[in-house]
Amino acid sequence: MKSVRVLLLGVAVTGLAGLAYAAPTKLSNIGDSISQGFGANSIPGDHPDLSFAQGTSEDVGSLFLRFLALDPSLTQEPESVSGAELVGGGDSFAAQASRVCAQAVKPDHVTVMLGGNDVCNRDRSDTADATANMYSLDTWLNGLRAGLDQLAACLPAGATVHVLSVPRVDFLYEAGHDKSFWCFDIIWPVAGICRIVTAEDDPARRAQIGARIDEYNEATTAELAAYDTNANGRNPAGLHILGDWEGSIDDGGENTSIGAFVFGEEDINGVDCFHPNTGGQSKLACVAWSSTSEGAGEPTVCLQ
Amino acid sequence: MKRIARRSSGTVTAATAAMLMLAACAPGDAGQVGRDEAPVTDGDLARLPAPEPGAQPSDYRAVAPALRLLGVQRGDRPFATIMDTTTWQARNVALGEPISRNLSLTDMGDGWAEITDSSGGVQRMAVGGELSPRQIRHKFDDAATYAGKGVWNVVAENLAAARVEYGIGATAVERDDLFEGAPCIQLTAVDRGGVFDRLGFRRGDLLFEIDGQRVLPGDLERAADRFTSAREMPVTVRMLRGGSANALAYHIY
Repeated sequence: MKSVRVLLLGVAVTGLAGLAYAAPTKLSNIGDSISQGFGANSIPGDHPDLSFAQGTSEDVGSLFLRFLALDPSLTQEPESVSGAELVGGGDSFAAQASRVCAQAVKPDHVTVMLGGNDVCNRDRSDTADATANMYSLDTWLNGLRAGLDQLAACLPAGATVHVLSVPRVDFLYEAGHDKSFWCFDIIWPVAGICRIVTAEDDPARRAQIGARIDEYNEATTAELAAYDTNANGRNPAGLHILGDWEGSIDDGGENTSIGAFVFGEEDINGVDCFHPNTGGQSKLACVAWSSTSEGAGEPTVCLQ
Repeated sequence: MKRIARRSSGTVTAATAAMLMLAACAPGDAGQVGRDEAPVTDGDLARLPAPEPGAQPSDYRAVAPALRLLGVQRGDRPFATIMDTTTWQARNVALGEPISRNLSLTDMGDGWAEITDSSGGVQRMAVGGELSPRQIRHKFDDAATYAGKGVWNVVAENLAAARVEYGIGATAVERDDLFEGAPCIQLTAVDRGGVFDRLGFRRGDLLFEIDGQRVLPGDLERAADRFTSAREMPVTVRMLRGGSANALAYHIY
């Protein structure tokens, strides 16, 4: 789903199908605690300054700072909320999209990153199918459409919606076990952190969950293409709708997108052993930037 | 338990832990609203499977939200995901669970779910489709509603009345050992219908502060007092649930 990339800052680029894309003048974002920079500096709590999306810290090099380099008058009005799911709850993609649409000045670039909580909030299955209680692809896609439809209807012509792939939270198990007993022996069980994977000792069952996340990302990518080309008739204003997914790890796509990032102990914080640390946020920013129309860089380099 | 010293990144310091600004997951049981329907009658009440004791028709209201079936899950805990497109809030409703006072999710299959009302009427929803069934809601059901981004709106009078009927419905233990310098309590039980349930809390939640003050297990009744009296400033709560964190603000009207 990559569009044309340019290396020169401050240059409006020509995208696919001959449409001209100017650098955005206002950003918004839709996301969860990762977009809120939760615990990135190992101090629990939201730290939006350390967010890959909206951060103002040069330690992270957020999308906001990168776009700001293109246009110093750039503004942002984030909507991400810790705990949000793409599908469920009161801060779903659709709910956050409605808040973006309610902004007095509509953004012309919206970054979306959700999905980790959709996996982590589900009950562990007692059956042979570890994914039995996870959202079906139908549910996932209907949640996605409920948000995209609103953005497609309210954002100005030429705006971009950039939907990032879902991280493989099943890698938490190894990352936390490598990091510290604090992770797997204390904080995960006591605080109930992503127990669908952190309490799953069977690697084959964790792989099932990872495969479902891959399916979410594959389905999302196909859906984004249908919106971007208006093949589904749901994007008549011609918004630019793109993602970052380049294929699964099993298909050779390791470290080519956020959803195919094999994160390790060095990428998660030491307090809840769940959220990206500053270095992890910086990697996310680099990958996200590489998949924007204006961006540059190679995901595999970002994720080294 | 002793304080936990973490091998890889050191002990959580007092300064660090004091900044715990922890958040709740998006409440999945946020109140659903919609356009008002014809007032609730004695006949409606007679058909409700679980009417509030002593309640009158005027204690209820009927609304017709636009409900969209996002999907169904048929695992060992089957549920349907239903979104109210007037608020864009979605909840996962288990098979057999009530959706409102008069509606229940009674059956589901590949691509569909059935809702049965208290008069026996059955409506089938296709995945992706919408219905606007008449929902009957008691004033307790909307005593606390989630407005998004960590903000709750609370009708003090109605929550106080629910408290009289159901109590606070929560117990807790101290968790001073978890984060050095940031003592907290963990809710060990949250009973359906009680004050803490209506405020969106769940078993396992870690509560650090209410209105900037430490909470102890014996403080829950006193904490509930804050939510059942109208006030100008919101009640703030810092908590952690399942690795998701934020600060909650309850506006008490």
